Formats: sequence, C-alpha cells, structure tokens
Amino acid sequence: MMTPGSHHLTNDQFTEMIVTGVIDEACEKHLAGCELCREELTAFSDSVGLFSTTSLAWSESKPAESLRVAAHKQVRRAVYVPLRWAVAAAVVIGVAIPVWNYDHRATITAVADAAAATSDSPAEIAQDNQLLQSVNVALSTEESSPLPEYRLLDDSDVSGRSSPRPDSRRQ
Amino acid sequence: MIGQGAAVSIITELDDIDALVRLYRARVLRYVAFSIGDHDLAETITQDCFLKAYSGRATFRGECAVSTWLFSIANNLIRDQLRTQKFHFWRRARATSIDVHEMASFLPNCESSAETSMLARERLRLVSEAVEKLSVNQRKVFIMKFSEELELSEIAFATGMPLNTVKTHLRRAISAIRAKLGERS
Repeated sequence: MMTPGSHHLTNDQFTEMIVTGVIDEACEKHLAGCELCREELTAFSDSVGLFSTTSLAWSESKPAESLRVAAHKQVRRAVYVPLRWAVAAAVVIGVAIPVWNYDHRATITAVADAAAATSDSPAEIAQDNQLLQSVNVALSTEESSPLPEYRLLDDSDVSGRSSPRPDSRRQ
Repeated sequence: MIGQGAAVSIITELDDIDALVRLYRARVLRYVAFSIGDHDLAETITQDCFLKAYSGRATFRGECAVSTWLFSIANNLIRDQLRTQKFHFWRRARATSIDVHEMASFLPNCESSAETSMLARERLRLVSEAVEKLSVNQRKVFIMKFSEELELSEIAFATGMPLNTVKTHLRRAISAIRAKLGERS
C-alpha cells in the first residue's frame, strides 16, 4: 500500500523490502516511477554499506595480540591471581602474629613486673629480720630505770615488766 | 548442511588457530564492538571467543559456517558480559566507547570530491549515531544482516532468537536508521 496522499512507499513496505530483500510487484511499479523513493532506498543502502566498509576497516586496523600469548596470559592469570592473594594473606598473617605476640608479651611482662615489685626476695626478708633482731637485742640490754630507786614500782611491776618488742617478720 | 568432506576440512581449519584468527578476527571484533559499543571490552571478548572456539573445536559439527559459529560463541560471551555489574559501570562511564571521528578516518578514499567526501562523513555519522541508540539485540541483528550479510535463519541460529523476533528487531533497527537519515534531507 502506498501512503495515501503522498503516494510514496510506507515505512512498512520500505522495511519489509529491505528485511526480506524481495520487492513485490506493487512496490516495483512504484519504484520505477518514483524517483524520491528510489533515491531514499539507494541512500539507505549506500549509507549502511559505507558503515559496514568503514567499520570493518576500523576493526582491521586494531592490532591483534597473538592468541598463544593471550592463552598463556590467561593461564598465568588463573595461577597468579590466587597465588598473589595467598602471598598477601601470608604477609598480613606474618606481620599480624609478631605484632600480636609482642603486645601480648609486653602485657605479661608488665604484670609480672608489677607482681615482683610488691613481693620481696628471701634475701631482703632475711635482712629485714636481722635488723629487727638487732633492735630487740638493743632494747633488751636496757639501762636501769630510776623508778625502783625512788620506790615507785610495785613488785608486780618489777616481775611482770616487759618491754615492747617488735615481732620478727614472717616470710 | 555441510558434507562430511567439507566438515573434515573445517575441523582442520579450526585446528590452525592462527589462521582462524587471521581470517575472522576483524569481523568478530566489529560485530562485538558495535554490539556492545565498547572497544576495549570487545577486544577481550573477541580474544575469549577464539580461545573458546579453539578449545571447543571438537564440538563443531559443521551445521553452519565457521563465521556463524564464531558469532554464536561471541553472542554467549556478550550475554554473559551484559549481565555483569562491571559492564554497566563502564557503560555509564563510557570510557572506551567507539569514536565516530576515529572511524571516519577509515572511510574509503575513492578519489572523490570534497563534497562527496563530506557527504560520506555525514552519512557515516548519522548511521553510527543511529546504531548507537539501538538496543543491543537490534544492533546485533542489524550488523549481522547488513555488515555480515547473513541470512535471517543464520542470524536466528547465531543469536538463539526465533526467526520472527529477528525480523522484529531488524524492522525496528531499519526504521530508526531510516528516520535518522531522514533528518538530513
């Protein structure tokens, strides 16, 4: 069917002609007598042909990488990518463990030092005991009190008198 | 259908990977590049297409031409690529889309006048712009029909689409390109 009024090929007729490559009798007759439709068909065909030729030339100009090289690269990619991840993971673990260990050890040492600071060594304890004993000895060799001289003391005071003694330090 | 003798010669042809690439690479690259509109990605897909074809050459039964078989492999790769998020990202970025001006430098030089040359450039620009605006399926069908000159049944085989779907895509593509070319006149 021609377009009413314009008497040119319809879009459907035009498209069908190009898709199937078959020109029916009515279209053929019309094309024979209509320069405008003929020109449009030629312009379409030329433009699409130009696109095809140019796009192929463009495609041919693109350098091709050897497929053997590409295949090798693909194999290498398949091997090296997981390998790289494994190495990265190993490095992270290799760094993280010593850092963690160092921190952990530092904490343990700090706690141990604090504990050591609060407790004395046996030698120090023995030294302290020795000092206390010498204090005791010094106190026991006391000078005579002036109280008996003035008869101010009871008997009980004399017999029960005891000097305050520092206790020895226990370990 | 291809005869047994012909099938044997095709299998031999497929065994020579370098010859296969030499013979079909430009066509496959063009098909992929203009289907997806990304040159860099097209290179990768084309390479993968030949590697797949070579490794699966034993499965080729000679039901169609080698080029049609290669296009069907390329089609599967394009479909896989279109599904990925990465493709959509790069498509939005359009970092490696095909440059019409670059393509125009490959226009055939037929000792034509400056006016004819300008007209050819303009036509190329219009068709390229129209093709770019088509859907992926319309582009595939359009290139197979007009650039590869495949039969509709071959296009249906290569794309895995029913024949009527191929025709529908082709009609829409032709209408869009015709409308674009009509803008000039």
